[in-house]
Amino acid sequence: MRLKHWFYTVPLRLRSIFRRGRVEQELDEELRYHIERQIEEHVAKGMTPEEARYAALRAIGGVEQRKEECRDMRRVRLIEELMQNLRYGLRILRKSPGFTAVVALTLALGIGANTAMFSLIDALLLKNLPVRQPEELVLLSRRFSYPGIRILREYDQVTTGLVPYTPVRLGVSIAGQVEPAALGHLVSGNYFSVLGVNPILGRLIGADDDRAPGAHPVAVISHGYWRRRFGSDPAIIGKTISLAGMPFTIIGVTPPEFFGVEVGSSPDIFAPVMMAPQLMPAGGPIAEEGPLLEHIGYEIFQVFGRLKPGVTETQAVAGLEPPFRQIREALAKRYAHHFDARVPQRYLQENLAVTSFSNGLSQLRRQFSRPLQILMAVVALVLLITCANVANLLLARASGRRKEIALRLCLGAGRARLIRQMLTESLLLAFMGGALGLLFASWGRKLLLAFMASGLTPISLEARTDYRVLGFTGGVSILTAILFGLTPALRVTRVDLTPALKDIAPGLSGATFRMRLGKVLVVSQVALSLILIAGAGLFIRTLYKLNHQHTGFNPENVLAVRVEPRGSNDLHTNVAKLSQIYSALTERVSMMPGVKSVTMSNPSPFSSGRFSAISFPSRLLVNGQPSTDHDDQNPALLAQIYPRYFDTLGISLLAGRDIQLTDCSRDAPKVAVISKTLARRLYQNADPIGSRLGERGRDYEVIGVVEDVKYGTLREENASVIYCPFPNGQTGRGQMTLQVRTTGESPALISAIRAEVQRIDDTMAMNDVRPLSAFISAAIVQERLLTALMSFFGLTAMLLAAIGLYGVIAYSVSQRTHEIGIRMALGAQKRDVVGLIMRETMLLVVIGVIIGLSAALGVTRLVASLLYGLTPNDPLTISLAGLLLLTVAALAGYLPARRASRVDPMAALRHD
Amino acid sequence: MVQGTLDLLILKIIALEPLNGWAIGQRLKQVSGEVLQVSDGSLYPALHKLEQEGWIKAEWKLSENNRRAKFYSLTRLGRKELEKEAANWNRLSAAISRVVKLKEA
Repeated sequence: MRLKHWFYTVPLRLRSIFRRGRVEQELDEELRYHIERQIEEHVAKGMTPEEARYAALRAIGGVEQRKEECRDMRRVRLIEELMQNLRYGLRILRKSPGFTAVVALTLALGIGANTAMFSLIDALLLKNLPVRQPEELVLLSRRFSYPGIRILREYDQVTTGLVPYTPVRLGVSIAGQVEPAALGHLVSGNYFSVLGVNPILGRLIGADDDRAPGAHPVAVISHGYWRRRFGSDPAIIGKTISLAGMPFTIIGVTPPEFFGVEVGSSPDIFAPVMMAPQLMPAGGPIAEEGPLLEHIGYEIFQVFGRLKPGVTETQAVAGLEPPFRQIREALAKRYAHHFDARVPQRYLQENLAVTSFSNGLSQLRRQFSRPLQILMAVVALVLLITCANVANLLLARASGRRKEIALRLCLGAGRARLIRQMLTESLLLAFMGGALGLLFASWGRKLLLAFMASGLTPISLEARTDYRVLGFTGGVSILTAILFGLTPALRVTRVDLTPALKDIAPGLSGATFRMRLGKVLVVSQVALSLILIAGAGLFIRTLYKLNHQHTGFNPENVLAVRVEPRGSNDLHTNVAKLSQIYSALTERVSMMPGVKSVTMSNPSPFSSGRFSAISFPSRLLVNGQPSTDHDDQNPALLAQIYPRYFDTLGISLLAGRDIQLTDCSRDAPKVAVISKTLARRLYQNADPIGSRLGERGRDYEVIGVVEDVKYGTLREENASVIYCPFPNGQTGRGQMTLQVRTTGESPALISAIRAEVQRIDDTMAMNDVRPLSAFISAAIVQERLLTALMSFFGLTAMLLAAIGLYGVIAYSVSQRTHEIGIRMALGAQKRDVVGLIMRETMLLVVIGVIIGLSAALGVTRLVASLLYGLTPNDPLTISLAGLLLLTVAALAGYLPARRASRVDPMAALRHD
Repeated sequence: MVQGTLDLLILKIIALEPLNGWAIGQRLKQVSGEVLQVSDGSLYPALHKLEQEGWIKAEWKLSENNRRAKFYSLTRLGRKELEKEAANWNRLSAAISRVVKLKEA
C-alpha cells in the first residue's frame, strides 16, 4: 500500500520540482479555462460580457490566491525553497570566485585531512572482518602449540570449533622461476568454514586437507595474488606452485573482499597447518625436541573460534580454563630444567583471556592506533581552526551584504528564511570543500600508508572511499557548515534596518559586535594553533634526539637479508650443512662487484633475529668465580656472528682481536668478544682480554671488547652482549642475517644477492634484501609520522591563524580610518598609529598565546609515551612555540598597521 | 458543508466519468439540486490535493466545446479511497440520523 502510494506520488512530486514551468503553465491554463467557460455560461444566461467576467472572477475569489493554494497542495514547498536557495547561493558564490575558491580549498584541507585520517582509523580499528557474523568470533589471548590445540579441542564446549593459524614467509617458485617471497597463512581445516568464506574459484581448504602431517600439499591463493601473479587465469585450479621447494597444487581462490584475519597484512597463499613441518622456515624435525607439530613448547598458532549461540566471553574463558591449565602444567614440566629457573613458574602463572575477534588481529593496529588517534585529534583541531577562519571570512563578506539583507528583510523575508538561505550557502561551500577533500583524502591516505610502511613490506589495508567514508565526509561537511555558517548568519540577519538602508557607515553596534566575534575567533585560532605548534615542536625534538642517538654502528651502505635454510632450526644436527651454505654464501657475495665486505650474524641490529640465549650476570662465572654483578634485570645476551661482523657494520673494536674464520667451527677453542657495557659491568677497570667468561660447563675465552650497539630500538639502554663465532653460540637455532657493506648505493646488488641465495639453495626462505638504514627508519616510523604530520598541520594552523588575524586587523583599520585621520590631523605620528594598531593586535595574540600555553601544558601529557629525552612540558619547546607564534602574529598585524599609518588625514576626513 | 466531504463528492462524481474542473463544479450543483454550494475557489485546491495524493489523475483532452481542458479520472487507489470514504459516510450519516430521530420523552 505504502509502496503503491509512492508509485503514484513520487513522479508527481518530481514533476512539480523539475517541470515547474510546465506545471505552472498547466495550472494557469486550467483556471483560465474555468473562467472562460463560466463567462460563456453567464453570457448565455443574459449577462453582458463585462458583468459575466466580473461574476466569474468573484466566484473564484482571486486567481493568484487560488494558484497559491494549489501550489501548497504539491507538498514540495520546502524542496522548492531549497532549490531556490541553492540557485541563489550558487549565483552568489559564482559572483565572487576568488572568495569561493579560497574557502573551498581551506575547507578541503580541513575536511580532507579528517577524511583521510578517518578512513585509516576505520580500516585499522573499527571495521569488522568481511566474514559471516564477525561479532561472534573470539580470539584466545595466547598462542598455542599443536598438541596444546588438541587438548583445547578435546574440552571445548563453547565454540563451534577452534581455529589455529600462523603466518609464514614462503619462498615461491612458479614453473621453475623463483618469485618474490610471499606471505602465507597456515590454516586449519575448519578455518574457512568457521569464518564462512566461500571460494570464487575451485574449493577452499577443508577438514580432509588437514589430517596428517606433510600429506596435503594443497594451496589456496588470494584474489589479489591470483590477479597480480596469474592474470586472473580461470584455469588456475590444479596448477602447481612450489612453496619452500615443495610442489603444491592450487585448489582455490578466495573472494576479493577477504583479506585473511590480520588487518594490514593480507596473505597471498593459504596452506594447511599439517604442512607446517614442510613450510615453516625453521621446520623439519627438531632432533632434540621432536617433530614440530608434536612439540608442546612450539607455541606458534593464534587460535580463534566462533562462540556457540548464547555463550558469553566470560563463559568461554571458564570453559577453556581446565584445558589451558593442563597445557600450562605440561609446559612447566617440559621446561622444568630450563636454564632460566623462572621459566616453569612463569608458565604456571599465565592466564587465559578471550577477546572479541570481530575486527581481526593486527600488528599494525598495535603499532599505529595511538599515533593515528593523536593525529585524528590534530586534524579535528585543524578543522576547528579552518571553521573559525571561514566564519571570519563570511562575517567580513556579510558586512558587505548588509544592505542587501536589510532590503530583503524590509520586503518581508522572514529572518528564518534568510538564515536558511545563508546556511544553504555555507552548506554549498562545505560540500565543495568536502568533494575536494575526498580527493585530497585519497592522496593523503596513499601517502600515509606508504609512510607507515616506510620502505618495508607494503601495507595492504582495505582503506577505500566506501559508503562509511562518504558518510563521514558528508557528516563532517554538514557539521562544518553549521559551525562556520550559523554564527555569521545569526549575526548579520539581526540588522538595524534604517541606518543599513540609508548606507550610513555601519551602525556602531553592528560593527563592534562583528569585531568582537571576529576577535574571539582569532584568539581561539591562535590558542589552537599554539597547541599544534607545541606538539610539533615536541616531536621534532624527539626525532632529533632519536636520530642523534649513538647506535654504535654505521648503517649507511649496508644491505641485510635474513636467510633461513631448511633444517636451520636444528643447528646441532645440520651444523655441517649450514656451515657449508653460509661460507659459500659469504664467499660468493664478497666477490660481487661493489661489495666491500660480507658477514653474517644473529641477531642483526634493527632488522631481524633474536639473541640466541641470555645469561643472568648472577650466574656468570668470570675466571671461574661468580660475577659481582647481580643485576638480572639486564641479562647478558648471546649473539652469533661470522668474521668481519664488526668491520662490516662499522662497530669499533676497542681492545683485543676480531673473530677469525678459524674460530668458526665446533672444534675450535671457544672464544668470544664482549660489548663495552658488559666489560664494564663484569671487569670494572680490569682488562678482560684473556679471561674466561661463561656459565658453569660452557665458557669462552674473551678475545676482544667492542663498542656498544643498539639492537632493537633507539630508546633502549646499551645491551650487554657476548658475541660468539658461528656455530658456537648457546643455541639450537641456526638462522642468520647476511650483511653486505657496499661501496656506494647499489640497487643492482639487491637482486644479485637474492639470485645468489636462490642459486645456493632454492628451498631457502629469505626476506627481502634491504638497506640497514631502512630498518632504523622503520623502527622510528611512529615518531617520524607524527613529526611530519604535526609539523605540516601545525604550520597550516599557524598560517590560517595569521590570515585570520590579518583579516580582523585589516577590517578594524578600515573601520577606524576616520578616527585615525583625526588623530593624525591632531598631530599623531606614523609610529603612534602603528603602535595603536599593534597594541590592539598583540593584545589578541597574547590572550590567545596564554590560553594556548595553558591548554598545551595540559594536552601534551597525552603524547608523553611517544616522546624521548624530554618531558611533555619541555619548557624550551613550549616557549619556542609561543615565541614563534608571537612573531608570526606580529607580522600579520604589522601589515595592516603600516597601511593605517599611511592614511592621508585629509582624505580620511573627507570620507563620508 | 461538512469537513472532508468535498473530497468524497469529487471522487464520486469523477468515478462516474472523467470530467474537467468546471464540469465537476457544474455537476455538483446539478446533482445536489443546488443544495451543496461548492465555491469555485475551493474546488481547485481540492482537486490538486486529490491529484497529489494519487487518488485521481489528470489528462489534457478536448472538451465538449472543442477546447483543451484538464480532465480528471479516478486511479485504482482513488477507487479504494472512494469505497472507504463512502462507507465512512454511510456509517456516520446513519448514526447521525438515528440520533436525530430519537423521540423526545
